[in-house]
Amino acid sequence: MINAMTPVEQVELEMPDEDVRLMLAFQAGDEECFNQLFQKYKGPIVAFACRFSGRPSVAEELAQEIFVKCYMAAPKYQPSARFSSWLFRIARNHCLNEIRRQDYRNPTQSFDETWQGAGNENPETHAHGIQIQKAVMHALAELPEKQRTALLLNRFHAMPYESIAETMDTSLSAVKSLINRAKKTMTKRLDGVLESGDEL
Amino acid sequence: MSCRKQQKNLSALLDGELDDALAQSLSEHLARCASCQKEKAKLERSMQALGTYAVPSPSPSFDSDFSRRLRLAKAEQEKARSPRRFLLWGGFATATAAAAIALFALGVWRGGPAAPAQIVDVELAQNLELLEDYDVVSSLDILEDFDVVSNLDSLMEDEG
Repeated sequence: MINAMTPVEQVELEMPDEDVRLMLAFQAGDEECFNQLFQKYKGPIVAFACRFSGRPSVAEELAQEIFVKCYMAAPKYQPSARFSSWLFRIARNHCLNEIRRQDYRNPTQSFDETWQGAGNENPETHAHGIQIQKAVMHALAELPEKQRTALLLNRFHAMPYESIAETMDTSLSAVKSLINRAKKTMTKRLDGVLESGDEL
Repeated sequence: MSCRKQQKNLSALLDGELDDALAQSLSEHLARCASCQKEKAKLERSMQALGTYAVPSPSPSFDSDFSRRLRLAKAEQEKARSPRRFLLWGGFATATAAAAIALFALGVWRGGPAAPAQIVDVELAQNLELLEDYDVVSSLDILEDFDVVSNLDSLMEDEG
C-alpha cells in the first residue's frame, strides 16, 4: 500500500522539529508560520548580533536584515538540518559581512548607553560590574571569528556541539577544539579583572 | 594521561559533551590533581562572567521596523525582476525583427525572376565602360576617313 504523505507529515515523522514544520508550511504559503518563527527567534537573533558585533546600537538593524534574508531564502530552504542551524548560519554570515564592510572595532563605544547593572548594588560593586562587562566584551571581540561564533552559540544559545558544527559547516572535533581554545583565551584575559573582584 | 591532555577535555566535560570513558578518566584525575582543579575553577568563573554579558531585548518597534524593511526588500526584488523581464521580451522582439528582415532580404536576392527592365539596367551597368568607348570611337574623325576610303573608287570615277 502506498502511504502518501505530505512533505510536512514526512518531516514530522523523520525530524520531529516544530521549526522545520513551520518553515515548510511557510514555504507552502502560510505567512503566519513565518511570523511564529520570527516571534520565537527575534530575541536570540538580536542578542547574537549584539554580542557578535559588540554594537548594541546596530544589533536590531542587523537582526532585521537577517530575518529579511531568511524570508527571501525560504524557497531554497531544505529540511536537511535543524531550522535554528540554518537561521544562525545566515545570522553569522550576515554579521560577518557587515563587520568586514564597516568599522565595528572598539566594541565598548556604545557600551555605557546599554549597561544598567542590577540597579541595587553599592557603587563599588556597580563599578566592578561595569569593569567585568567591558573586559568580557573586549575579550570576546578579540577572539578569532570562528572561536567567537562557536562560544556564543554554545554559551548563549544552548546549542549542542553537533548543532554548532551544522551551523558553522564544520566537524564535531573542530567545534570542540574551537570552544576549548575560546574558553582558555577568555579565562586568561578575564583572570586579572576577576581576581581583583574577589578582593572587593 | 598528563594534566595538559586532561585539561583539553575540561571544556567539553563542563558542557556535557565528553564521552563516558573520557569523562570518567577526567573526573578521576580531577579528584587527585589540585592544579587541574584550579584550572577548572578558573574556567567556571570566567564562563560565569561571560554569562553576565547582558544585551537589550528587541525594542517595541522591532516588529513594525522589520515589516517595513521586508516590504522594501520585496519591492526592490520586484523592481529588479521587471527590467529583466523587459530585457528578455525586448531581446526576443529584436531578434524576431532581425530574423524577419534577413529572411526578406534573402527572398529578394535568391527569390523569383526579376523584371526585364531590371535585367537591361543590370547589363547596362555591367557594360558601361564598353558603351562609353563605343561613343568615343563612333565620334572619331578616322571613321569619316574610313567613309572616304571606302568610297574612293566612285570618287575617282567622278573626277575622271
